[in-house]
Amino acid sequence: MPSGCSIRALWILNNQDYVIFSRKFPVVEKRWRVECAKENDDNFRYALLPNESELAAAFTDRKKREGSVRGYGLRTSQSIKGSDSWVDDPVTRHVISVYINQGEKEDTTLLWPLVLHIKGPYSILVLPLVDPHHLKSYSRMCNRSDCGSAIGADENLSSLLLDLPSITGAFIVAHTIGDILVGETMEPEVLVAAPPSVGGLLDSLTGSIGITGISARAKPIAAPVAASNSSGTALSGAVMSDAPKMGSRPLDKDVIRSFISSAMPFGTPLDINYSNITAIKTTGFSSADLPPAERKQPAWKPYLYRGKQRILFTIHETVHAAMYDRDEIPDSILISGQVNCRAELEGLPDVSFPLTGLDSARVESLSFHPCAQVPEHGGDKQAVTFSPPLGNFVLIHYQASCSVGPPIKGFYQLSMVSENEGAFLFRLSLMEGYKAPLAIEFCTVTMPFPRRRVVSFEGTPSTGTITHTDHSVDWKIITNTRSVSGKSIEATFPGTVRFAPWQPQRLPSSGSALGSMADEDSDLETESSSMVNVEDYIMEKMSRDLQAVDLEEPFCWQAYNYAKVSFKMTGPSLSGMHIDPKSVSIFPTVKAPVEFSSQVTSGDYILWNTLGKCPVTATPKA
Amino acid sequence: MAGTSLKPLSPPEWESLIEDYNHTGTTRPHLLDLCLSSLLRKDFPLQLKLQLLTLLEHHSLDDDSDSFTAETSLHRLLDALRSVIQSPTDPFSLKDQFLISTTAILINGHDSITDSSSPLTSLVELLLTIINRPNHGLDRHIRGIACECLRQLELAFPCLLSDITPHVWGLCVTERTHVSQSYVLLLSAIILNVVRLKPSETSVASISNATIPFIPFNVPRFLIDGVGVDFLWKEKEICYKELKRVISFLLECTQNLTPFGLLELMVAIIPVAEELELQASLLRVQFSGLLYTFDPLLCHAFLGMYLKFYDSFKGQDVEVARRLLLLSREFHHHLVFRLLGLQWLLGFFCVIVGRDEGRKRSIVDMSLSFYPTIFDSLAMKALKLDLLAYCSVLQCKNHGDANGKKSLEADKEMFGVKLFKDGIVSVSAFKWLPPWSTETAVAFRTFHKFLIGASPHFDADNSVGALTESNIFGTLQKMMVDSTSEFQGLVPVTVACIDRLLGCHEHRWLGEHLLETLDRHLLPKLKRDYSLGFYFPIFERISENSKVSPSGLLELLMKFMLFLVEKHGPDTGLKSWRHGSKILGICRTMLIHHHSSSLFTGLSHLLSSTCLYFPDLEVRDSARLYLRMLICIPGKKLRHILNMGESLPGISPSTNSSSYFSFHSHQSLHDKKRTSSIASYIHLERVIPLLVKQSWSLSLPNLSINPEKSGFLEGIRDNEPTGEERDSEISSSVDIMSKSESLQQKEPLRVMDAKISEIVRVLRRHFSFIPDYRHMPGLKIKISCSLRFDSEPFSGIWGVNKGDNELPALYATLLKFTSSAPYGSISSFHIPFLLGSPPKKDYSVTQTDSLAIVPVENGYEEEDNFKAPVCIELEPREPMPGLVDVFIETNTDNGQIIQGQLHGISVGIEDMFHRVILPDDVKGDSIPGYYVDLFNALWEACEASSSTGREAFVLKGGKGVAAINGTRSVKLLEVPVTYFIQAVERHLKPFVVSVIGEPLVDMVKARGVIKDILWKDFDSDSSFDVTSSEGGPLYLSYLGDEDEGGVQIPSSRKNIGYFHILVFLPPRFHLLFQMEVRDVSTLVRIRTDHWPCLAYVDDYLEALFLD
Repeated sequence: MPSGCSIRALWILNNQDYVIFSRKFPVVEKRWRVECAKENDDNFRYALLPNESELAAAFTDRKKREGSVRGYGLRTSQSIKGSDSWVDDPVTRHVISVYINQGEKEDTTLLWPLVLHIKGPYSILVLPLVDPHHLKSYSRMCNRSDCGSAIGADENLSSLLLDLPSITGAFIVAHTIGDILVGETMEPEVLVAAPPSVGGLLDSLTGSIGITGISARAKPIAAPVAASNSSGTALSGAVMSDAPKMGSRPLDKDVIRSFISSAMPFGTPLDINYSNITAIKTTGFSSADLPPAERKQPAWKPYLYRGKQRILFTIHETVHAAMYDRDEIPDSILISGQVNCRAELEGLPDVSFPLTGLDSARVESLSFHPCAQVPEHGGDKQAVTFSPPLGNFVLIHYQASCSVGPPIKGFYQLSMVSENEGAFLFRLSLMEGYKAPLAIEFCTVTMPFPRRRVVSFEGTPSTGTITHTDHSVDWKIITNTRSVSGKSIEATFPGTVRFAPWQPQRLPSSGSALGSMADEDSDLETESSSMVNVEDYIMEKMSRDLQAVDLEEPFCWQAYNYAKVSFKMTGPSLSGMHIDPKSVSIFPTVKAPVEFSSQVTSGDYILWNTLGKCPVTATPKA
Repeated sequence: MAGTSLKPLSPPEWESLIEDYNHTGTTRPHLLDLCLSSLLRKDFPLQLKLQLLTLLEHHSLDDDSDSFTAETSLHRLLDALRSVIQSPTDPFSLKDQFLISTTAILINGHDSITDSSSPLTSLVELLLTIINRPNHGLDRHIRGIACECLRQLELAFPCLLSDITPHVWGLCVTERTHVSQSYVLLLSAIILNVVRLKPSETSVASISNATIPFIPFNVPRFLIDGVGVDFLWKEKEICYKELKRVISFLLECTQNLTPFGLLELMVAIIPVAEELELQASLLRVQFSGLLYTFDPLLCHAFLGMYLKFYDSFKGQDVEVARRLLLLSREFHHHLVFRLLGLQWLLGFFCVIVGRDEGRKRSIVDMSLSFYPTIFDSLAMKALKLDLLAYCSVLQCKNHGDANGKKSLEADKEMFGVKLFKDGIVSVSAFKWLPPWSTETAVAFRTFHKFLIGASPHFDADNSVGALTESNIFGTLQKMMVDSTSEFQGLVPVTVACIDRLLGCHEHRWLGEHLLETLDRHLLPKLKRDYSLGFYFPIFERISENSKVSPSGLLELLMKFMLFLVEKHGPDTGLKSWRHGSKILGICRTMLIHHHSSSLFTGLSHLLSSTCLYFPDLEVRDSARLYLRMLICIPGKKLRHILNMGESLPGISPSTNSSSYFSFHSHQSLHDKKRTSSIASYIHLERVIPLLVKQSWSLSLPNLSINPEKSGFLEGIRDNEPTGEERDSEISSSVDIMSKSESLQQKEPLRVMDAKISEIVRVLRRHFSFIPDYRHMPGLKIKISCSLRFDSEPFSGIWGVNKGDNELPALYATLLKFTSSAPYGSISSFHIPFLLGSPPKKDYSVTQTDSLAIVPVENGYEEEDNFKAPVCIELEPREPMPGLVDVFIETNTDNGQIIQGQLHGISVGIEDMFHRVILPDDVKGDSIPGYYVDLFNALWEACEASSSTGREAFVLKGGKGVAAINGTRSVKLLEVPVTYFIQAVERHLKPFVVSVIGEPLVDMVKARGVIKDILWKDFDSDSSFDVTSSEGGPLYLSYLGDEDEGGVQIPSSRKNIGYFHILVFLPPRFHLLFQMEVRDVSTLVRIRTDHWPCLAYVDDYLEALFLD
């Protein structure tokens, strides 16, 4: 059986583990039933798809067994045979299995692979079609009695996943549905110098003046800096903390239903572009929508643009940095960028431009929109040719290193002078070596203290203003929107911060992802006298009741002291990625203005406390 | 149309029905008809109609969807569909959904098409009509849907549309709107089936030339006949060329497809390309761009193709791997896609290594790019560390085929070590974060992967030796030892890791090896302080494992125990107890799991020093118990006993224990009944029965005004009472003590003659050796008993089913004693093990049956085996008989706990008899003399009018003093002399001080039982009464002091001699007998300083001689 992507069923659960939407696809299910019958295995029989209550029960059961909605992901001492964490692979937090108990029969059936996507208060479960032997293989994997598979062993999850594009497809479907559920079907942002503002697909259809995309789409990884005061539990209890959203936005089942019937009428997804589907549903086609004469209209472009023609490009770069200011640890700076595009062109033209300014050494990777044709081998002077779809779209994603120095350099030192008082010092230099068109719009440094309550602070920065909340101190270095252009800024900020007395936090009984082992020897504390350093002592004390973070986090943020820099810059990109409007060519030739803009924002831009612990990774040295 | 008998449902009713159906699967009959009638109503909302269609689809999945198998219903469904499609007013979305749902229901309702009149034919015809209007503007979307319906039908019933392939191709070429994707997919599905199944030569031959009309549709013969032909495409050139044309047309469409559409096309086209043996370069040109898109689905599709045509794409491995790695690095992707990218990479490596061993080199060369980066999520770090582990394994495995240069080998090994060390940096926080942190979990997972990497489960036996000697293994071990010794928090994690290995069949040896390493390298590193408590889980594992020698651990525990003893103080009591218990726990585990006798030496040392020195009483007790068990109970039985405890509820999670637990709790009611009768088959008996079977004891009112003082005869008081205490002390003693005593307080100076001063000297000496029980352990009385139980009733009641020859046993029996008599605290007694005594009847039966001659002695010996000696130690505060209550707590073979009271042990006055304490310097020959002197002195002192009565004697320790307050009595026993001597010999032998008078001396000496005493003639002792030395007849009146006037005794009853008997009654009293022996009677003169004992002495003497 060829492996495409078909979906047997999907369920949407709310945060009370109640199924609020379900859809089964009989045609795919029949294929599964036929395959099961072919297996001719007494131990493996076709089982009906569970109904909503059975699934909800199984899901709750798994949650109980695995400690959380997602589960442990790794094999822990709590893992039991037959469960996902027994497989000992982090991906089992996303591709899960449940045991369905159907009615009177005592035996349970394994339902795998269930693709789990959590969005807002919803858990979206998608069950793609696989071969019975895949299911059997997984069942063997999670029931094997040994200590866990070695890498490259005969039967492993990696090979299964490689074999199953349906799981990948199911994830894409799940993410799309998730975005629809919470109303995040924004298109990527394209900046324009002047109004009329540029909206999404519907704008281009109606020609009306839309609302500019408020922001770019949700970033793939949640901003890790704990800005909210509930950060202590925010990560493990993401579902819970989103609970209030439920009331504010009732689930529109009809929207989901109609999306599903258009996107995957028989369970096989064909086109999951939500804006296209919505446009077809709402607008339909008129007799004026003539098919193009000379070539076929692509499936991803059901409508052709009509109106004033132009092309807009926006380069958006995000800087991720871990700044250590230590001799033994090199700083790491990485830029992830994307080229957003909006081509308001009539007909089905091809657009091409050379990728100039890209020093191949700087750019680690380039990847393109499926509409683009790229030469097989990457290189310095490659040109991109693409047939643009409607609306805003991301043409290129890339990773690069900085072509100039880091936008914000310097150090952050925090030293605990007593148990509840810390002295800190910032010495930063902004935009050192940057030239004129690059301008910084705002720059804020935040010292988060998610586990301590800030009582007061003292100290005056050389520039900017200070505010503090219960759990953070914010230093707005550049306050006025009048951008500081082309010159570097030196800023220092010495001060002290006082905290409320440290209170050990009891671990919630529900337990963290990996469970808290009861430490019966808690009264066996090492004698405090052996701690020479007050700082070590506090760290030791504070780290004792740290909760385990989810596997989705890069490390336990709360275990470290750091400052996070957020900023936004305008001007040329930091990586050197650039599109020359003059070199953009359109075929068939048409006169259309090309606009180009770029902006740089900060991602995880972290200044680690130079005097404290910090997470590191080894840099490869051959 | 709809059944007229059915009441149509209103929209709210429908909604609740749908809700119920989805939730629990409950439905109602004739659902299809109900739905159809509602669907056709104009006043129903569109959304509800769409829901109804979905409901019908879902319902068609059910087992009992009989309504769908009936053809008439399906025809009705088709009629309804037609009317909707043709209706000008119904919205497109309803038409779309109706088409979809009807197709789905029909596909589900048919397993195969057997005749051409089935509703399927009509449906196909309807669909073909719809799609047959290419490029038509308004209904383009529904044409796309109809194509998809046809495609699904073709997939469900392969070759259904094979006859009309030429028409479909024609439409496909013509269609130019965005739904051309649907036409292309439909065509690809048909072509795939045609190519795979080769329905018939005629249809195969006509891919481009239509031979039959498009409409009306007929089910092809192939489906009805169900036979394919044996056909090779390459042989028939025309067909092959036509097919190639179709394929190249399809391939050209790829740019116009959505990602999902492209995937579907590839699914269809790749098998065709294989079948036709197309050049892979065609595909490569079309699809290699997919690798460079950021759509994960397309990348995945490319991977599938790449692996299928691996040979044609050869050489791109590194490029593909690099792209996959980049996919995982791209920040904009959702985490799950980045994870999937890494998973594919791992899977990809496995595949290409499986196909071509030579690719290992290039994978290993990439290893540096697998290093985790700082902001990688922990899940990604874990997977990247997996990749590093994989590289290290590849590298290690390579050295088999390397050309054997040693330095090269070492380099390779070092490479693996470097990968591990560098990799683990990314989660190095595991060392100081709490043990439950995710970093720890990831680090130890990696540890495990590197560890077992070189010996996966499928070939565990190949390289045990090589692995343990390899560098990477050494590094891993070192890391484990170092981090565990440095960070105590890691102990549970380390233990969990070892447990995991131990639990694995193939890797048990690895776990054992790690334990050995810990034993060798960790134990010496540990500091001997309280932090050692953290390491007990590791000790536990070491002690459990028979492969690891326990000697190192025992040594460490010994030192730890000494540390605990040293550090013990008021604040550390609890700590000492806890650690002590833990040490004992380890000892216990060792007892269970080890055989070697070397263990027993070390362990007995540890246990014995624990019982001797450990500050905590409970620990000492338990240590003693373990030591006893270690020494007394044979290994196998001991392990059995200890294992029993192991499976007690709550201790071990094994299934056994839970069943045991329920069994136990269930039976607790019966237990009460059973324990009540316990005394009838478990017996604690005195070894030497009491002479006087008395069941009473004299109970005197407490004369003391100070209720805290125990005895009414408080003869002891502190030597130097101070301050106010003295007053109360005196006032209380005034009442208690005799007048003379109180006089003594007032008159410390008295005049004494030489005789009295000699008596006082003797007494002082004597009393100074009597321990003062108020300040030190008093004298103890030991009563020997034996415990036995009858097998038969016991087994019956406790359900201990044993084999015929096996007797039930009691384990860890604890006897507790209490008494209302003033015996002080009576320590309990432990019996580790006791076999039940075999049933008497059985015994005889077996003897007679076997006709074997069994020596009687054997029987007795065995009898003894079934008795456990029990010693009850009393520390009397007052010498008086009483009853000791006995409580038993014991365990049966099957782990049941027996608790209950046994029959009490009665204590007689004779149990109080104790030999006088000898001063240390009195040895050998001087002993009899000392006894005689003491007897004489006490005899004098106990004279009521004795002047020594006012004397106070300091007790041992110098704190308390005692006074003598004597009483006298007399008893005549009518016993012949021979019996009398026998009785004395039997019962009073230890207490005889002297025998006086030749006849008696001769008689007693001749018997040879009583030895080492003073033998005297009548006249040699001047202290005797003249009358008695004269040997004259005995008159009662002669004992003038006691009785005035008496009966004259016939002279024939001649005084033969005297026994002088001196009995010490703990705590500090004395009983003296002067027995004047005659032929048929004996007169016993009794003197004591504890008058209440006279009450029992009478009975005792009678029982003694009249027995």
